[in-house]
Amino acid sequence: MRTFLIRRALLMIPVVLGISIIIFALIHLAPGDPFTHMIEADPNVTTEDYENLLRSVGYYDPLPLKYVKWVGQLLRGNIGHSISYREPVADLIGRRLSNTLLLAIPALCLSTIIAVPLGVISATRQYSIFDYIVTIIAFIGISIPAFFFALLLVKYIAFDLKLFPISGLSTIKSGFTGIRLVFDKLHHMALPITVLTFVQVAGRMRYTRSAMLEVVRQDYIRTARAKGLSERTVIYKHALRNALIPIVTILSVSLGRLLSGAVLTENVFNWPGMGTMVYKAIANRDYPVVMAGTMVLALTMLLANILADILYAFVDPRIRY
Amino acid sequence: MGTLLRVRNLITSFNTSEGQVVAVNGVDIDIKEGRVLGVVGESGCGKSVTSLSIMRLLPKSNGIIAAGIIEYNGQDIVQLSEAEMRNIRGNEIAMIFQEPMTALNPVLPVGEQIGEALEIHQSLTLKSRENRLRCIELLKMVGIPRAEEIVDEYPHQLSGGMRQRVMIAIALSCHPRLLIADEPTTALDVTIQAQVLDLIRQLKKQLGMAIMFITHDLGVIAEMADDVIVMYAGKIVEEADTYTLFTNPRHPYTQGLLASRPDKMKRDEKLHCIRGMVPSPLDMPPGCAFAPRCDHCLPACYQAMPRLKDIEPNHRIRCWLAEQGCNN
Repeated sequence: MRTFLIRRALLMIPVVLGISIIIFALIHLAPGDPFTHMIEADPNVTTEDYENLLRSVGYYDPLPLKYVKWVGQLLRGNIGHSISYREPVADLIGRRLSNTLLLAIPALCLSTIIAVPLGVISATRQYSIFDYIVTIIAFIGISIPAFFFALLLVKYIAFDLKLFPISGLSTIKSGFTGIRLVFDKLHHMALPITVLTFVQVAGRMRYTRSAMLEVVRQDYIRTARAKGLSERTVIYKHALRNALIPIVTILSVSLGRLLSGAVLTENVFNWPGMGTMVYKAIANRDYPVVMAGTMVLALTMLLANILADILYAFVDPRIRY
Repeated sequence: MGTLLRVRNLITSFNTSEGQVVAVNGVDIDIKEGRVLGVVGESGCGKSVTSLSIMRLLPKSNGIIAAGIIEYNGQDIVQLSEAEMRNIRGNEIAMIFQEPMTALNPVLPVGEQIGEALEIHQSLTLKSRENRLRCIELLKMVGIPRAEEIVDEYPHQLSGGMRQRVMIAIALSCHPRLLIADEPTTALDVTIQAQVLDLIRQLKKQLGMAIMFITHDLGVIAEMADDVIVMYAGKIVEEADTYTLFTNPRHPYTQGLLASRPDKMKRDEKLHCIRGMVPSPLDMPPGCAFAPRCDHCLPACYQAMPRLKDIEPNHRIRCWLAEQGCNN
């Protein structure tokens, strides 16, 4: 296991390098420059000043040199200074990532807790009314775009019924402290978490269902029944443990995807997470934030994959590294 | 000796997309305490479905016991509730399956898979010391070396023969009175096959259970069984004790099967075979199902199915030749 992890960590180096080149290249393919949005509209800035500014930040350096400069700074732990937020990118990402986690982790847990049992019951009662109802709900969940579902919630539950706040992280200038602050946060988290959970439940429940259907056909399930085990033991011990193997893999991958921030959902609820950050940074040509943000997302994806491999070894005794 | 299992007119069918398929069509079986009944027939003749019907382990979605009684120890188990049936499964009647590679759960250690049966039928708590000791004892009984270590290993760490031994240990863990062995050696190579057969025979002697031994290997039947049933297309076509069946087979199908065995004395001759194919259960010929392949076919054979008729004590065949008194 240890050698496996070391090998995986070493393998990450070329992958990360490749990712950095791609991110760097893509961003430089995009038109515009960092000052486009800041001073373009300002008539007091002459073209000459503008050119000088660009030259001073190294805009006209050859690409390879720019890349080397960037990576050199990264390696020294300096991931840049945001142009539009006017603060170190590291601080910004730290704050945004924790906001995203605040949504991602509960949504991941909730959707798994809901989806796996639903999938199991759906599989054990294949073609029953329960199965059809769950299938229809899953179908809706898969078909409905997250942002649209989010807008529906905002309109009917937040705006019409006023049960939850419409957007944001917490009530501004409320001066809440202690337990009231926590409740206020939870109150704001409820709707975005509902959206993320619902969207994930659908896919994961269908996945669990098909994994279970595959497993219950296996010979060892018949063996378990032949021992006289109760149906509950057969399904939840013998079948589910085997079905968990593929489920754990997709769970880790969706963890990576969740951390990258659900861009649309975060935007609808104006939630200051990774998704909104990267989205706005792109719109503002805030290169340091875009590059650092995408790098962080790529890294979380990689780490999620390693996590999947580790969990794999946990649930499947046949896998030993 | 008392009759342990008495099956009468068992009809098992499956609902498929192409219609209802009758896999077992009116089978009668008697297994006496401590006897070995061999069941032979080609693939698809209903051997396995018969055994799954007895265990009530037919696929729930489409398999049904349409008619008949299955009396175990004087009690009709077709009528039992699922909970009562669970008490019999693995405890009174146990089963070993054909495919040792897939019949064990890959994510549970073998000890736990044996221990589970002990937990439900003998109230030895799983993970308790007694349970573990009993598992090790059972593994030793089926001839597994290093039983103390193997008990914690997973199925993928064992060879096919070892896995089948583990299966046998699971089946025998609660001293069943009837063991159903559904082609237990088919998936093993020949030397391992011989070892496993020896083991089953020795354990039978030791524990005294009755065995229903399903196979398509006549050599195995000759070695293992006291009595034999030959099945064809969901019906019994011949029934006799093993010696009689091998020395005096009377049904043309049995004769064909016995003649098809490769014989080491006749090296360069062509192998005998029964012409034609097993009819599809969706498209059974009227009359005797074997008629289209039979060398002794009479006009009557295409009209109606003959009944299973006694032709001498303990020897019955289902054939118009016997009905009409012909001596083939």
